[in-house]
Amino acid sequence: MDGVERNYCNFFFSKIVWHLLQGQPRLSPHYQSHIVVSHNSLTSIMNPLNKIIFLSAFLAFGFLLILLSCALYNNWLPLWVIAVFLVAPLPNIILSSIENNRDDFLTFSNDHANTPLPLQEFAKFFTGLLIVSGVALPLMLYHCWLIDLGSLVMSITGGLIVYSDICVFIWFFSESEEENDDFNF
Amino acid sequence: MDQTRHLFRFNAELLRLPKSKKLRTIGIYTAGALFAVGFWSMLDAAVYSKTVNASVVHVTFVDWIPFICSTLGMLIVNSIEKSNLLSDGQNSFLGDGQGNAWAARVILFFGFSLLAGGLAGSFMVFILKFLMHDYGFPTLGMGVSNIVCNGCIMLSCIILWLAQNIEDEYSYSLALN
Repeated sequence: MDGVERNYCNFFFSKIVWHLLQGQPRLSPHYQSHIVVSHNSLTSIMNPLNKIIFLSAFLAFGFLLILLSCALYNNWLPLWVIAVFLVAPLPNIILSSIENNRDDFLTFSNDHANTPLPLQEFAKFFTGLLIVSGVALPLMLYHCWLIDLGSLVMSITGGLIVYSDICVFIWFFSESEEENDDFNF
Repeated sequence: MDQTRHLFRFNAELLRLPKSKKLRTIGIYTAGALFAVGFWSMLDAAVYSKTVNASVVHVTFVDWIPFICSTLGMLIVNSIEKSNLLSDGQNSFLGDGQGNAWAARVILFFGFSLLAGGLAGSFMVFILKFLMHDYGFPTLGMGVSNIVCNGCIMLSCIILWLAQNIEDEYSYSLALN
């Protein structure tokens, strides 16, 4: 296990390769199938540290795309996409924390699915509104000749990457607490 | 007792919405997305008239009035507590009776008229401001986007209304029927 400690601070691609190599000898050589190999290497890759490294790399890539869409054309209007997509996960985060602290005293049940808070539905509504706004903002700018086509494509792609990255982050680290199958947009 | 309540042979069980929490969530997200599509199409028309518009027609405050009407109507329709509408006398021992239902129905009627008025107003702006003057298409598009805006908001309101009436599959109706 000394190899673990030495490779720990290395470049993360070499870490993946190391994990893939380590995954092999654990299997019995007779029943070695591709499915088992991929599953084993997947579970060894998906430890929390690697999750964080990958997610931050993707987040940085998304920000890079949006910033490039502004800087390459020297037109900083698409920068608003970052603001929209950073605000988009906020209503559900706030409302899930409210939901966790909701008082069940004297209600005899915790079936919150039946009686959702009106504020919770508003948060979902607002989330849908914000996601479409983040896509529609560059489209509007492109339609009004304020930005170029490359800027449009890069800012939409970058914004969606940033948003999905935040969602995957929440989903990864909330499933360890409780096994809920409804992913939190 | 149960037979006398039905006027027609087909009862409303056939038209009942599927019960699912996930469907409800998807419906609410879709409603929000449709509202955003409507708003951005209207904003697109406004910015378009400011930037690349080559004609003398511009989007002014008049074009925004149908949007404001539709949004107000949607706000009213979807913020009414729907249990108020059903409490009409027959189970008046549960709630505080009939005056509440009456007020709720009037407000709901007001909201629906605002929604329909918004859609009709968008058609009116389109016809009176754009169609009657025989404009070509880049100018006509500003009127079309007005109709798209109000249609999307109305559709969003319908979907939100339907989604809020979807019950969970494990819920039991406590109404004595």
